[in-house]
Amino acid sequence: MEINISEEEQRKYFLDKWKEKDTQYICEVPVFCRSIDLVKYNKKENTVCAVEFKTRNWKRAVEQAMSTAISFDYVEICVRKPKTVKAQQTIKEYCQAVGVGVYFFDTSALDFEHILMPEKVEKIWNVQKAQVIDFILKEDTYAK
Amino acid sequence: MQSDIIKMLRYNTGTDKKAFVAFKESFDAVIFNATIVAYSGSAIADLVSVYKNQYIIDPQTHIMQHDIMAIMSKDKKTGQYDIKRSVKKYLDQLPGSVMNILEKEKRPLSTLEINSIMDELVKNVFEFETQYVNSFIKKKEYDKYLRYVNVGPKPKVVIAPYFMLKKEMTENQILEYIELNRKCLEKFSLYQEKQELHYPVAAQLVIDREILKNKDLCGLIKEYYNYDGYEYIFLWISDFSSFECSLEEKKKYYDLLKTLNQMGKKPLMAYGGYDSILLTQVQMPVRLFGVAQSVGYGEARSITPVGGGLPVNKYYFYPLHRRMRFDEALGILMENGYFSSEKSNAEHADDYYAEICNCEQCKKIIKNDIDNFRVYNESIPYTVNARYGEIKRNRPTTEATLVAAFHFLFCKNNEWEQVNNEDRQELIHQLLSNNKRYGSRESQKQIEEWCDIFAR
Repeated sequence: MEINISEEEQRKYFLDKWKEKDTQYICEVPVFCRSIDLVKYNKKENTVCAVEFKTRNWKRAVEQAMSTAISFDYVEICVRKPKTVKAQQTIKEYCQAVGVGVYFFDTSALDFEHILMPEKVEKIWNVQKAQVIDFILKEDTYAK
Repeated sequence: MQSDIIKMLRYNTGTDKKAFVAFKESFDAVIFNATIVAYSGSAIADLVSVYKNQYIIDPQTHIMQHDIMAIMSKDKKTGQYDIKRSVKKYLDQLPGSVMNILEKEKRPLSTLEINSIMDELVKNVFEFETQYVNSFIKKKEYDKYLRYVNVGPKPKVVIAPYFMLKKEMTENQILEYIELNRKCLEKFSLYQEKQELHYPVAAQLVIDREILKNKDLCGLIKEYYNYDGYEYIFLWISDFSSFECSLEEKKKYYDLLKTLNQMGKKPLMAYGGYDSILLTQVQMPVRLFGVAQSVGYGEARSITPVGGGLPVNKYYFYPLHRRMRFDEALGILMENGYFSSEKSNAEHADDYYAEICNCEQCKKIIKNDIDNFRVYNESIPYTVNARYGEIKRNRPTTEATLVAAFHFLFCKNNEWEQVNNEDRQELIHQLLSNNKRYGSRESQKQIEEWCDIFAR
């Protein structure tokens, strides 16, 4: 049965269920005047990926993710899986065109599918990326 | 510089002082709101005595006509609302019934009530604008010196009491207030005559943007403001920029300036950006004769208080003459290849100076490495309690706020210099071409419309 889940709960499920090798997950990372829902930091490859969570309005998620793309190697969105294949395809095609990765959240199974891998952001400002990593490392030190 | 132009810098809070002192030679007069003068009289006295002796006080008499909540603040400890301390201090200088009605009856004054105290109001406002600061100077050690060398601070212009024309007013109410404004202006001018003083007098027209579209505004202005007893007229149109407003608003604003110019009055923009500075150019078909800008912000401003919002790093993008969020400015630079690996950081820095900005502040920060542009974005993370828990955001460091303010003021200096020295056609050409290069489609359209109307 499908249940009503907030963006925050969606992120919590994601953190519980999704694991990637050598990857650290950090919530609420400040970038410019915004806060990124989740940043995946791959220490080995020294890459950062921003993930925006949305229950509805997937286009807004793409917009938000792209607005800070300058600071990340990759940007992705995690949205509720649409019921129809056509709607799923629309999201996939739209994101493919702009290089944004997509996770679908199946609210019945409470599970995630990584349906589209992100493309490397072309125009990164390394100064800003370094600031993001610096924040992550400081948070990490603080947590320890 | 054209001698009939007044460049004004607004002084809003004590944090503006550093920039104010550094740029004191770049403007003709400092302008204060009456409430800050009332609240910090002694500090203001020092400021105008030591740094800038030409000052203007905005009497803010429109505070009597707003919903009481617009002048209230909440006491953090008790949770009770009370009139803001700075407003209270100012109200103490006005006729007693103003404070009584606002504080005890918690309501604005009616036009009838304002009419009944008008003589006293005019006298108190005039005294406040011309004497209040002096009353603090008299208590200072340096008073004797100032008097000896006769360099004491003086009002550059005195502003008559005024009331706002609001969008929700009926035509009759608009008439009532405009009549009130005329009476205040006349009485104020006559009061000064009786005192045998000769400060240039200004009216102030404060209106909601919607009033600009009132079909008869220019007719009313001709009828009620065509009076010899004043020279300048401050314009404050709520949250208005002639670059960014609609086509209709642009046309109406043009008509308003034309009407005032034809009446021989000199309009001054109370909160203006580059659009206002351009309109002071001597070849413009309709003209402003001065602009006030602030240290922290310079352009459009709402009349009634609005929420301050969370502080963010901002940067004045000179080619577009617009203050924007740091990430927006960075995006434009990225799009134009300023951080690409095709050139060295030093070459990019040279391009930046040639194409974007070569002000002292930028040179001090960027030096020969474009990556130093990051200084404008220096920030500290802080925690905000959101509905679903804590989130982290960035707020600018004090240093970043200051360098952004200095950069802004250097840009303003350059704008004044350009407008003063360059031909109108050249200025318009630069405006259009820079917008084509760096602006959004929307902004290009707005600027083209502006040029069609104001620079034809």
